[in-house]
Amino acid sequence: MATASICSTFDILVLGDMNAGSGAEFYAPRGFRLIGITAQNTAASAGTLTVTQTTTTDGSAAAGVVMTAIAAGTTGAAAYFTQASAPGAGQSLAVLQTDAAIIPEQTSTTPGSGNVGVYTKITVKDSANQLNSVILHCQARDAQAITVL
Amino acid sequence: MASAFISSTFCVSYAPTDNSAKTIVNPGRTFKIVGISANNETNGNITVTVTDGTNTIATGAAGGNAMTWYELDEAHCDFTSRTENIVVTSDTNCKVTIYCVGISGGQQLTVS
Repeated sequence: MATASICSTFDILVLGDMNAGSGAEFYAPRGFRLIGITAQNTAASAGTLTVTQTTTTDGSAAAGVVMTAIAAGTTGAAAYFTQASAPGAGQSLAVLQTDAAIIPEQTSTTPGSGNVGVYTKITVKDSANQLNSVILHCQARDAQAITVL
Repeated sequence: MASAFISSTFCVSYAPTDNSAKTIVNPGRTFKIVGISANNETNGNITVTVTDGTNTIATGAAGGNAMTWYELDEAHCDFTSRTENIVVTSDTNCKVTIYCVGISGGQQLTVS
């Protein structure tokens, strides 16, 4: 059955070098549901954006869950903004693998010796090094349900 | 004359399970729609339509494995009645998000 919900929104803005090493990494300040990703592409060519969440409860390494789009007809971690054609310079949208776009409630915002809790590391990787901003559009994990007729 | 507004935002998220039109009952707010996106996780095109029950606000194909951002008919984006509902047509695995601000755009700013 179809469902609908209503919720306030907030944005997480990522700027700067998202290409070096693993990309830009930060810990989720709260649990949330990712509802969209926009990125500013400075080149008139396809870029590759990968946004990954890694949630652990005891500090041990866990497999990253990829939240971004997959290219048409393929699977994997590489993500393209659209499939119809290479995007030009300017704003682009990334499709989400929505089942993976839910960040659990955080009981600890940073890992550390002796810290036990749920925390999620989010990695934003700009493999082609041509993005100058990425915005994660977010809402609460459990939004208020509204009636669908 | 140009105008500018500032407002808090909220969104209405719709997860369809078929391609029939569904009425999303207004939760009791007046608001203005400022954006509509469709996240198509299938390989095929899906046609998405959003109306106020009478007038089309946005419509078009949501490309396969892509997020589509729709052009809006600004004349019908203001929901001035708390009982005015949103009607959305999409399909399974093509979630629609409707981005909203306060009615008429919110608090007006000075433009010079």
